[in-house]
Amino acid sequence: MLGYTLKRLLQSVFTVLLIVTIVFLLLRLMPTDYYFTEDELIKLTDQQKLDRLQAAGLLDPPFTQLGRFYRQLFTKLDLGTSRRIQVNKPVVDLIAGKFSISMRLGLTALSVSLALGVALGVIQARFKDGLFDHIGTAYTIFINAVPPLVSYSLVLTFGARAFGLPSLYTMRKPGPSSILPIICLAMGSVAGYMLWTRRYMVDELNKDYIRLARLKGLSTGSIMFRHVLKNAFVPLAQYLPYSVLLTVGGSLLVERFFSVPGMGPLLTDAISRYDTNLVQAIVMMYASLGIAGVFLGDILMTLIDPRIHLGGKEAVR
Amino acid sequence: MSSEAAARIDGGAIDSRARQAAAQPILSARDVEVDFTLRGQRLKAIRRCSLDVYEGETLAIVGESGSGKSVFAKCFLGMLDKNGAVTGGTIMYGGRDLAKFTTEREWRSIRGKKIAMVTQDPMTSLNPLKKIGAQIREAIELHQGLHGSRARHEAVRMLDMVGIPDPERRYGQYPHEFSGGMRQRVVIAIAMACRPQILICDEPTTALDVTIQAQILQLVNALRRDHGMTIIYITHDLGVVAKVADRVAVMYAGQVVEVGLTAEVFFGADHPYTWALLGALPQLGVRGKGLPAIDGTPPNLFNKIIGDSFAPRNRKALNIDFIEEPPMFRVSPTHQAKTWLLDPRAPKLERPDSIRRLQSASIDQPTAEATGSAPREPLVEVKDMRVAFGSGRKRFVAVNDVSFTVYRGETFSLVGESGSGKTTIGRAILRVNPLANGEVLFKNRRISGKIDKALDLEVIRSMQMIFQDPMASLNERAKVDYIISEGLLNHRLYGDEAEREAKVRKALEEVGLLPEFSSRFPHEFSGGQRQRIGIARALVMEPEFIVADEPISALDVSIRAQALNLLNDLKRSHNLTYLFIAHDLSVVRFISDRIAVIHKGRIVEMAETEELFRHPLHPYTRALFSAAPSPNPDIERGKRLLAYDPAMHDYSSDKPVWNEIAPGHFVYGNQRELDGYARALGA
Amino acid sequence: MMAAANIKARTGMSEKQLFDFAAFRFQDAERTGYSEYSYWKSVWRNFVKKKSAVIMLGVFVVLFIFTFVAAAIGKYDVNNLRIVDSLMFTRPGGEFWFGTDNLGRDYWAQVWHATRTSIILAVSVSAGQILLGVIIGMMWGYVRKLDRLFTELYNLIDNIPTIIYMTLIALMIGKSYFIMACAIIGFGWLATARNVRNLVFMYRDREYNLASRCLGTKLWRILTKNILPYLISVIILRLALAIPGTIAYETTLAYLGLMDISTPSLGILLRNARSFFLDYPYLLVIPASIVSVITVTFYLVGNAFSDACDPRNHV
Repeated sequence: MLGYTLKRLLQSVFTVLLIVTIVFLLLRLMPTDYYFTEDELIKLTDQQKLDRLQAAGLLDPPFTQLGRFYRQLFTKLDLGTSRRIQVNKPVVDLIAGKFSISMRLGLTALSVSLALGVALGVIQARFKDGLFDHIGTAYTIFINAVPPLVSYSLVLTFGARAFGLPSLYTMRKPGPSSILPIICLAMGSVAGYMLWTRRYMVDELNKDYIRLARLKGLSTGSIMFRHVLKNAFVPLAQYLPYSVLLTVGGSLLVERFFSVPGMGPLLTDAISRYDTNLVQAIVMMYASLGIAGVFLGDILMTLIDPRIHLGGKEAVR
Repeated sequence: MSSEAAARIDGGAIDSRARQAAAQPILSARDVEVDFTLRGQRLKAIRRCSLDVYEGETLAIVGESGSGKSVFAKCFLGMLDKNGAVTGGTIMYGGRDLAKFTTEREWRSIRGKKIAMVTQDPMTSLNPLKKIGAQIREAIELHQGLHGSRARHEAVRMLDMVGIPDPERRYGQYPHEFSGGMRQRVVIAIAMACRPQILICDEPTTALDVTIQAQILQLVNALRRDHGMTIIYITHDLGVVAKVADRVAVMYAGQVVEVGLTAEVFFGADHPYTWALLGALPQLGVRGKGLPAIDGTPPNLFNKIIGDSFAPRNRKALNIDFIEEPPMFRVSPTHQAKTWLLDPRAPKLERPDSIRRLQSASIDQPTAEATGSAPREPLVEVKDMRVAFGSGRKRFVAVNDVSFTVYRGETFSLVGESGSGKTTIGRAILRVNPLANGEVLFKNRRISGKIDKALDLEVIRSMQMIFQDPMASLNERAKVDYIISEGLLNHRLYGDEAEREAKVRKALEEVGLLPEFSSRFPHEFSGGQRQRIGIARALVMEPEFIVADEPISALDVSIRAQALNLLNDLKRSHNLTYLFIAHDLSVVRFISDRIAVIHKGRIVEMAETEELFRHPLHPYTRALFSAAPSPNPDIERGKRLLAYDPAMHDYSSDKPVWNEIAPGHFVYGNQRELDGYARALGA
Repeated sequence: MMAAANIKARTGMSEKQLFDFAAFRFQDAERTGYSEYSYWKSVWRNFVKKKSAVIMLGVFVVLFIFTFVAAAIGKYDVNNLRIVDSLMFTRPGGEFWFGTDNLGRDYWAQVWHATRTSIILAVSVSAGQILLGVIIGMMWGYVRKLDRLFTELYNLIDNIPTIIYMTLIALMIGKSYFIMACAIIGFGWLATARNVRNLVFMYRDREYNLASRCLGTKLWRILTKNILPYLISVIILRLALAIPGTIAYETTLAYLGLMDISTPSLGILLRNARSFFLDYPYLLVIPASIVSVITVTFYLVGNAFSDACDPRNHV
C-alpha cells in the first residue's frame, strides 16, 4: 500500500514535469519580443533588447534555459515574474491573490450542487418514471443541451431584472454579487449529480443483493438508504477530490461572464498576452491539481470500497 | 407401480407417507397461473399448477430451465419480475391467500419472517460494501427484535451455525474476502436469521464446485433436522434431489407433471418425461452405447401449448396427448402423475431399461466396453507444460509441470474443479494462452511457441474447440451461416460460394439441425441447439483433434444426453480425438477412455477410466468421487463425504514425484504415500 | 370421461384411436419458438414511439434545409454586408427581418449563414471525433500491448482542462475554422475512446472471440465482425450527443475569443450579442433559440435512441 502510494506519487510528479517541460519548450518557440513589457518594446532599441535578453539568458539553447528553470523552481520555489499582466510581480504572489476568490465561489457552488443534486437524484430514483423523475430528466436535458453562454445569459437577465442582483462581481460587495456566479456554477453540476445519482441508484436497484435484501423483508425505504445510496455514491465519490481541487482553478466562462477577478480567466489572459512565466506556472498548477485530484480520488475509493486495493490494476477513469 | 419399487417404498418411506397422509399442508398452491409480458407478447410461465407443501419436509422441485420452477417458487414471496404477475389460482398459507397480495406491505409480513429464500448466485447476492456481520444483523434486528451486542452475538452464532470457522473475525469482513461456498453459507445464515417457517433454496449450489455443493447440501439437511424447518429445494440436478428430498415434484412447461415421495419418483416414475429425465443421466449410461436421450428442445413458452406439453418430444406419445391436456392421475395417496398413460384405456407401457437399472443397485459398475490394445499413436503430447498469468509478485501459476499424451482416437478427460487450470491447459494446447515453460507436440511436431505459416494453418484446421457456454460462445450479431463458415472464410477453404454453402449445410445436418437454420440469428435457438451450432463450427474445419471444454455443463438435463451422444457419434464418423474437460466425474466416466484428475494446476492422478473408478488412490480423487452426486437416493443417502485438505501432504523433506504405480496408472505423491497407494492396490 | 366424449365429438377419433400411439415428428420436437424478433427492428420500433424525438428530428431537418432557402429569399447577401452606423440596432421589421447588429448589418443573413456553418461544423467535428475515438478505442481495448500507452496518453491529456490546450493552439498555431475544428477533434476523441475501450474490454474475452481466434480469424475481422456490431448503438448515441456538445463548445470558444470572427457562426453571434442583449434582446434570443432547437433535438434523439437500444426495453 505504502510502496504503491509512493510509486504513484513519483509517477504523478513525473507527469507534471513532463507537461511543464512540453509547455516550456513550446513557449520558447515564440518570438522574443514577448519577453518585454509593452512599454519597453516601444522605448528600447534593438541592441538594448538583445543585451537584455543575453543577460537574462533567454538566448541560450532551450534546454539550458529549461535546466535553469528547474533549478530555480527546486532551489527557491521561484517561478519567475510576470512581465505583462502585472509587471515584475512574482507569479506565485499573483496567483496567490486570485485563487482564494475562485475557490470560495467554487466550493460554495460545489457543496450546494452536491447536496441538491444527490438529494434530487435519490428522489428521482425512488419514484422512477414518476412526474418528478420526468421533470428532473427534462432539467438535465435542458442544462446539457443549451450552451452555457445562453443559460448564463438567462440567469443574468432574470437575476438582474427580476431580483435586482448585481450583474457584475465586485470586491466591495462579494456577498450579493457572488449569488449569480454561484447559481451559474451550480446549475450545471446539480444536473450532473442528479443524473449520475439516479443512474447509479437505478443500476444498484437491479442487482442481486437488493433481491436478497427484499427477501429478508426489508422495506423499500431502508433498502434505499441502507444499501442503495451508499453503493451508488461510491462511483460519485471518486471524482469528488478532483472536483474540490479544481475549484482552485476557477471557472473560465463564469468568471469571465461576471468579471470575477479569479483564476479562471488568468490563463487565457496570460496566454493571449504572452506572459510566458505566468503561463508556465498556471499550467503547472492545473496539471498538479488534476493529477492530485485523480490520485486522491483513488485513495478515497480504497477507503470506502473494501474491494479496491491500491496496487491492483490501475483503473482508467 | 412395479412391485419391487413398491417394496422399496414400503420399506423405506412408510413413516413419512403415513405422517403426511394425516398432515395438513402448510402451503397449498391451487391452479396457479403466471403470465409474463415479453416483447409485446404474453407468455404463460405457469399453467394451472398445483402443489402442496407439508410441514417439516424437504420438497424438491425439479425441472429444466424454462420449466417455471423458479417462477413458481417466487410467487410464494411476491418476488416475480416486474413484467410478470399471478393471474389465477390460490396460494393458501397461514389462512391467507398469497395470490391476492398486491402491496409490498402485505408481502413484508411474509418475506423473511415466514418464508425465506436462498438464491442461486452467492457471488452477487451479498452487498459488496457492507460487512458480513452487518448484513446478518439486519435480518436479526428486523425479525428477532434483538439489538446492540445481543444482535451481534446472535449474528456470530449464526455464522458459527452455518459452519464458518472463526466467526468472530469473519463477522467484520466483507463479502469479497469469502469464497463462493462461504458466501453461500452466509446467505443461508441470513435466511436462517429471519427464523422462517419455510426455506426456499433456489439452485443454491449450481454455481459451486462439486465438493462445495456436497457440503452445502449437508448443511441444509442439518439445519432442517435441527430446526424442524420446511425446505423447498429447486434444482435441475437429480443427484441433488436424490440426496436431500423427501418428496419430489417434476415440472415441465409450467406444470407439475409428476409428484411423489422420492423413492416413488425415482424407482416408480409414471410420467414419460420423468422416465426420459432419469434415463438420460450419463451416470446410468453404458459406455459404448448411446444414452437414451430426449429428442428435441424444451418448449418455447411463446408457442401455444395444446394437450400434453411433452408430447412433441415423446416418441411414445398417444394421439390424445396432442388434443387434450391430461388430468392428474393418483397412483398412490402420495404419488400423482399427469399423463394419459395412466388412463385405464391407455396401452400399458413398460418402464424403460434405465429406470430398472436405477432400481438395481448396480449402477456404480456400468459394464465397461473392453478397450482394445491396438498400437497407440500419440496425437497430442504435452510436456512439462507451465502456464502463468500476470507478472512480478502478482504472478499466478495456473498450470504447473503438466505432462500427458493423447492418443489418436481416444477421449482423454481432464477433471477438476473451477480454478484448477483444466481450461487453461486446453487453451494452451490451442495456443490461446502462451506457455511459460514446456512444449506441445502435434503429430510429433512442436506447435507451441513460434511456428511457420504452413504448420500454423494446419494446426488451426486440425485442432478445434467446443466451448462451455452456448450463450456466450456464439456471436449474437452474426447469422448462423457466418458463424459456421468463419473458419472457411478465414483461410478460403472452399472453391466457390455454392461449395461453402454446401459445407455449412452438411455441418448443420451432421449435428442434427435443419439446414434452413443457417439464415437465423443465434438468439432464436435454445441452449442445446446453440451448442450444436458451436459443434458444427468446429466440425466444418474437418479437425482431427477437438478440445471440448465442459461442453455439456451449461446445458439442460434433457439436452445433455443428446449432446454426449452427438459427440460420441461424431467421434466415430469423423475419426476424432477428444480432450474432454469437465468437473463432473460421473459424466466423464460415460465418455472417456482415460482420465486425468487435476488439482490446483497439477495432475494428481491419471489412469484408464475403469481403473480409476475401481482404484482411486489420491485423496483428492477420492474426495471428488464421494462428492459426485448419484441419482440413486438409497446410495446417495448412505454415502459418506470425504474432505480433501492439501495440508495433509507433508512434502517438506520427502519430495513428491509423478509415478506410474500400475501399468497406465499414474499418481502424484512422495515415497511414503506411494508405498501406501501400492499397498492399497495390492489389497 | 366426460372430456373424452367431448373430444370424440370434436376430432372424430374413436376412443381407441385417441389412445393409440401417435407418429413422432422430428420437426415439432426441434421447434424453436421463432419469435420474429430482430434487434434493429425493435430499436426502430421503440425509437419511433418517442414522439418528441421524432418531431424534433423533423424540425431540425426543416431548419437545415431552411438555412439554404433563407439565404436565397433574404434581401442581403452575407458576403456583401456593409457597416452602416445609422442603421445600427434596427429592430426586426419589414426591411431587416431579424433587425441589424451593432454595426448596422442585416441580422437575417448572418443568422442563417451562421446556423449552416455551425451545423456543418458540429456534424463534421462530431463525426471526426467519434470515428477517431472508435478506431483508437477498439485498438486500445483489444490489443493488450497498446493498453499501457493509450492509458498514459489519456491520463496525460485528461488531467488538464482542454480549454488550456485550445488556448495554446489558438494563439500559437492559429484560430481559423479548420485548425480549431481539428483541435476539437484532436482532444474530443478521448471520451469516446475510453468508453469504447471499456466496452471492448467487456466483449474481448467472451468465448465467441476465443472461438474466432481458434479459427485463426485475423484481428481486423474480429474487430469489425465480432466487436463493432455490439458498439453501434453506443456509437450512434455518442454521435447524437456530441453534436450539441460541439455546438456548446464552439460558443464557449467563440466567447473566449478563440474562434476566427470573420466567419460568423452561432457562437460568434452569441458572443457579439453578449454586450448588448440587455437592451437589444433580439440579438441574443434569435441565435440562442436556434442553438437550443438544435441541441435539444440531438439530446432527445440521443436519449431516445439509447433507450431504444437497451434490450431490456424491448418488451
